[in-house]
Amino acid sequence: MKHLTASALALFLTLTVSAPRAASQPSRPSFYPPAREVLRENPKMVCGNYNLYDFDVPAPTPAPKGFKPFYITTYNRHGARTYTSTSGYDTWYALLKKAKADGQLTPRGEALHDEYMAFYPLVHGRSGDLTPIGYAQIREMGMRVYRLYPSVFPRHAVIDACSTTYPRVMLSMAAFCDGLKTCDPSLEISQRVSQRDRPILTPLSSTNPKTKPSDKRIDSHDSWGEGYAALLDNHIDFDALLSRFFKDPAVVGDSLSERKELCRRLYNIAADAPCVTDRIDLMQFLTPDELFSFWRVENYRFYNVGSRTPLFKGRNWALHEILLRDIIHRAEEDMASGAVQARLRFGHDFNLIALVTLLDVEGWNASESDPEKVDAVFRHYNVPMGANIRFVWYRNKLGDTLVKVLLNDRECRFRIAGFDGPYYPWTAFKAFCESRLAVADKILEDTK
Amino acid sequence: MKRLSILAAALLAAMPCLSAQPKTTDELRAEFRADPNKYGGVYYVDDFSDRDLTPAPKGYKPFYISAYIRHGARYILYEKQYDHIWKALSGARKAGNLTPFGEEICTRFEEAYKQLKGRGGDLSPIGSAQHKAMGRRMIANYPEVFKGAATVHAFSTDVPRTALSMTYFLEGLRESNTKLQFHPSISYAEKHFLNPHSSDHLKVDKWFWSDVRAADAPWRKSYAEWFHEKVDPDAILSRLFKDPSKVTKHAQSLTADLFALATDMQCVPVDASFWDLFTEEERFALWELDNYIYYAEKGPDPCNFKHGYSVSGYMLDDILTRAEKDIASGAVQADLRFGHDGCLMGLLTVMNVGDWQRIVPRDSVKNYWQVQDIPMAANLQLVFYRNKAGDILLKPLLNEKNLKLPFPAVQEPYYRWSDFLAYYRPRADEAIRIVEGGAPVNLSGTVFADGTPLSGVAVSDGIQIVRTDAGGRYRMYTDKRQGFVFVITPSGYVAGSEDGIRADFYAPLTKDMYTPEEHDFQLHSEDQSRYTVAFLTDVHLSNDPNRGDIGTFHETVMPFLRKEIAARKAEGPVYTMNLGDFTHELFWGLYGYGLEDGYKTFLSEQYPTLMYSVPGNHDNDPSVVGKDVDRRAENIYRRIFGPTCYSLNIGKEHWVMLDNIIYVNVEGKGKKAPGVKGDRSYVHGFSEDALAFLRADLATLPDDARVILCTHCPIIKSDGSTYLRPQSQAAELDSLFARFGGVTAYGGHVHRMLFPESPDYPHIRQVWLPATSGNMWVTRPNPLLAGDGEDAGALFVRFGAGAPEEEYRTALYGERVMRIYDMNTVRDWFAGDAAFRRELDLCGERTDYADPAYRNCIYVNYWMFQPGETVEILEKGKPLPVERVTDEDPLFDLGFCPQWQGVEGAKLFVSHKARSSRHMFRAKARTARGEITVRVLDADGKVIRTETMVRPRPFSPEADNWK
Repeated sequence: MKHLTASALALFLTLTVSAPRAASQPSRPSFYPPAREVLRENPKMVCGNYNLYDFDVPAPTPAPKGFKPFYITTYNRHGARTYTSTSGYDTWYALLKKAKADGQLTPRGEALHDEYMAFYPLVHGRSGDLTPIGYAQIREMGMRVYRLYPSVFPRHAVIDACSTTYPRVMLSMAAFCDGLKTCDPSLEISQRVSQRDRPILTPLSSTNPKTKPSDKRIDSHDSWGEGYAALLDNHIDFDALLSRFFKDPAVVGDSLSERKELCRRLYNIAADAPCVTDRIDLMQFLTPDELFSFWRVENYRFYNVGSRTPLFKGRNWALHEILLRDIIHRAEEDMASGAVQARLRFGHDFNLIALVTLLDVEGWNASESDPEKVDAVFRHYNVPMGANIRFVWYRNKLGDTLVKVLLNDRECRFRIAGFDGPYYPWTAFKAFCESRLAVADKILEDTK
Repeated sequence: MKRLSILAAALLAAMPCLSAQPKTTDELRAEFRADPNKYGGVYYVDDFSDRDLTPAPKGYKPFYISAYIRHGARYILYEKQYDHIWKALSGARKAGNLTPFGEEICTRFEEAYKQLKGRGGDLSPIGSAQHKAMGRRMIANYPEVFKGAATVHAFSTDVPRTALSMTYFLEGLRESNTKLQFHPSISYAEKHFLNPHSSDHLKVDKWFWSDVRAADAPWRKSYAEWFHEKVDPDAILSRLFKDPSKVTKHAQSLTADLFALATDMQCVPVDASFWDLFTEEERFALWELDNYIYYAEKGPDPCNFKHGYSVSGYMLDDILTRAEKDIASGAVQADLRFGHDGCLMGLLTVMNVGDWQRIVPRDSVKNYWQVQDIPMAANLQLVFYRNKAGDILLKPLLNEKNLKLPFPAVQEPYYRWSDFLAYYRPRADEAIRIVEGGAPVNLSGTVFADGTPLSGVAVSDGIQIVRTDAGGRYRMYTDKRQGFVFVITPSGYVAGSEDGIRADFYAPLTKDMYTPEEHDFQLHSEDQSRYTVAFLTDVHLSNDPNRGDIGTFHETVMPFLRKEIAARKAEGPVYTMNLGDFTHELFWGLYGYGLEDGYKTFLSEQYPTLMYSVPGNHDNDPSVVGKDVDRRAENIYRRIFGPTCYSLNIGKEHWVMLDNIIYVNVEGKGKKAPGVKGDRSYVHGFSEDALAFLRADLATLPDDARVILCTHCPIIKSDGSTYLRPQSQAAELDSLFARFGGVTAYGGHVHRMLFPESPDYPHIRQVWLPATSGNMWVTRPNPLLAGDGEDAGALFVRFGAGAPEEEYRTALYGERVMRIYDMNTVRDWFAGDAAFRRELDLCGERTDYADPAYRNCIYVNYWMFQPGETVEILEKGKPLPVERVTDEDPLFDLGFCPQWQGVEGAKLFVSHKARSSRHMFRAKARTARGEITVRVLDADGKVIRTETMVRPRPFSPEADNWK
């Protein structure tokens, strides 16, 4: 890698001077406006990570003059999918059907019944599947990437894509690549699904040599279940919720835990429904307060699995060093050889959260142990369906190399002294990544 | 399949459904020699360069394609196979256990492993290229189908290599038309028609997984034997390893993994070959073995009862349904399904094309069914054509070659869509009907009572129990391992009997489990409101000239039984329960008298009742040793007496007859005798099958059922512990019987009478029955003395309205349940008989009743003593202190003395040293003369027996006919 020439650097710095220097400030809890306000203004956000990808993004900062993108690497969450619980869908189906037959439904319950009966055939047997909306969005994403960076994709450009073994992820990869291929059928795309990539795409997997058996706790209810349950219990009146639909909430189930679980599932089904169809609205059956509370509960879960939660001493995100190392190492290799123009990785939300956390991006780096306060520092609506991080490398004729990182097509800024971004000299960004990797390595070493 | 002689072609033309000529084994060998990759079977990578593109009839244009496509070339099926091989080779290298050839292979594999590791199951670049090329060919060959924004529906299983195959196929299409509308899907909702062999297919009965697909499915047993007939894994491994036994205990599995490696190398971009691990002969054999597995699991082999291929009926159904819908709407131009090899084989079988549905013997399967015809990326394409008049034809292609269907074409290879529907719709429906019908029926029949079908009758194969329907029909699926089907005779009925002794409530199964069979049963009604059961046990007929058992049985025992049975027949029906040891297997060869001879003796004696039997240890065939001996050694017994575990209802009682002897018969040990190959050892306990039957049987009973258990060996020992091993079986029995308030368990085996109690097993009332043969006919001069001094005879139990009444009758003396000894006269005999004194000298443990300590003692051997009873001994009306002792019966001591057995050179066996009776009561009288009265009081203090003796009472072995 060549260093930036003095003139380029000067140009770069002038470019960035006008930008606010927020990135070098320590993280503040008030980074986000209050959640309730955000959700009031944009009610769709209560769907959390079920949100559809928003293609309406701010215009990118133009690249410094003379710089053209030439290499891309990504980590992409799969596209819109159905709710992953088969029994969630089926239980509500059976429950509403039976309550209807038994005359146990309130008028509101009748309305829910009718809406749900229209909805159920779309998801029956399809829990966890990528939906047609999801396929179309990711394909669109592929086409957009091609159009955004035509210089990355000359004819016969070589693209390497890999995916986890989840069908929705494999199909997302297929959709993205089809989007590229539609733009230029000459592209030479290699798509791969292999256990060999598993430690990189899902670093918490036991095939990652740095994991230890207790890391299974990270994605386990055992670790964060208490705070999760408290948020549910303290903010949601389950019987009130069910009473809106059933004349006698007891028909739903004898135990409170059964009733709670039903309510939780109704939120998930409803919040996910926009991923399935735009013709059915199940959200209308929950009150804004209920939606907000459920959102906070799920937000708390994702915070704990992927972000700066104090629960795992940082292991949950530090383990993603293997993914960041792969990104850097492959990029250097590919840029040196020129053999590959883009490397696409397809995976899951919490891995994306952890990677962004590892990169210490503003809004993803606050530690908060009080479940009631987590929504002030973390927002899982920032990992919608199709969420992605994209590293784009630019170079000029002199061979100077810059890199820009986008999260969901929004430019990211990093705490790199002397640079405001979003374009960073590759050497500086790499040094920054290495400093972050050192932090991660230390965490893993200290918690071995 | 394609090399038809002119004659065959002519025949084919004449008979539309006739299949292709089989390939001879020589032809197959030649084919493999020409292209060794074909040994790989389903791993074969075909470049599909031999393709057909037969022009359509005039005026027809393609407009719709329906296809089922297997994923492309992949790495080895499971990652663990690579690891298994590497572990074996690298381990042996470290241990210095590799041969020079093994070293060479190890080095070669080490290099390849770097590229193979972590990729097990993955689609390889060769596979992705196969699919992309196939997609390109499809759009190039049928551009009319894929013009403009044509809609393509694609469905894949959730297996990554398949999903990627779909992706690459679509990419192949996309390159020629960027407007195409793709709708790819991977969903459980479509799995049933993409991979009907998937274990989460809800419509497939669990039977299919356990009995066809599971690693321990019944057919695999004989397959494993066949494998070893054809291939010697040790010979193969010996070329690699100096000592293969140090490398693996599973030579077959390592061999199979090595073969998979060798065959799969054609699928991966790694330049190494492992064919040299195997000789040509071994390759052929391993191919044939692998080939057969597909035939058995997914083809027409009878072992899967048509289910193996019928599950592919869902695929055919989807092809038909979707084509009808999509052709009608015009909304979809192609339905592409991506799946797996076996599913495609099943589909071709359901479709009755070629020889896929031909049932042939296992050795001939290879000549008709060749899995390399379903290589990597194998595919069935149906290309639909239409003319302006709207007539629809379709062209079927297998691996892009014209496929002949079993009905006439309009013009080869073009078939009328309506003919296709008419032929295949019923086949798809029938296949689905077979699958959704659940487990097959391979055993059925009708139970008749007095000539009319009887419903609700329990029928069993010895493990499971089903009931007859309203038409008296029973149906079941069984592995037939117990070899019988039997009726659990309902109360008030009895099965007919051909010989007058055996009730024909059972039928031996004569066909293999894959062949259905029918057995009907005839019952007739009988008034069982009052009935009697006679117990025989340990009859031990042996034709030993020294024992003279046949004579004693004929002259003494049979007349006794006839008389007692005749008396009871006046009150109601009488049945006999034979609790085993009918003869004695040690003597079968020695005296030329086997189990069948014992049965014939009963026939010639015209034994007067039906007899239900359980086997004893001596009913086993001592010439059988080795694997599965317990089962095989019972074959003679089963042929003569039928099932070894069964039950029947008589009157209000439910009788459970269970074998509790596990025959072991360790080869080469034990007493030598003609025809005896082992030590005739055995374990007291139930087989898993016996327990399974018992659980199933008891589960059919209401809580108020009266259950009686008959076994050869008693459950409970005299000290209250159990004979059964493992002991947990007794606890399980006790808890199973608790629901009925307990059970009376009758057992033989020990040749003694006793009513032992056990606090550990409070729900089992145990009755030990003395042997009908006394002590195997050996005592003298009275040959009918049983082991604890009981007079041999039979227990008769009368069942009716009230509690059962147990009556013991002796063969010689009628009703007799005790013997009273005046120990003063016993003492005289013990002291005075020279021969007996010699025996006592030989065996010091024996009680010497000549001892003055026994002066004036009274011994009462009361063998019907039951828990709760009190025995009183009175001298001149005054009660004496009575103690229950475990001591020898004086008469038995003398009767058993070997000198009197008349056997030349008879020895004193260790087991004959002391025979202590467990139902002996003793009192010491004040005087030597006068009347002694023995009274037995029941638990309520009521006197139930009184016997008297006037002293001095003479005592001698000859003169014991006294009370």
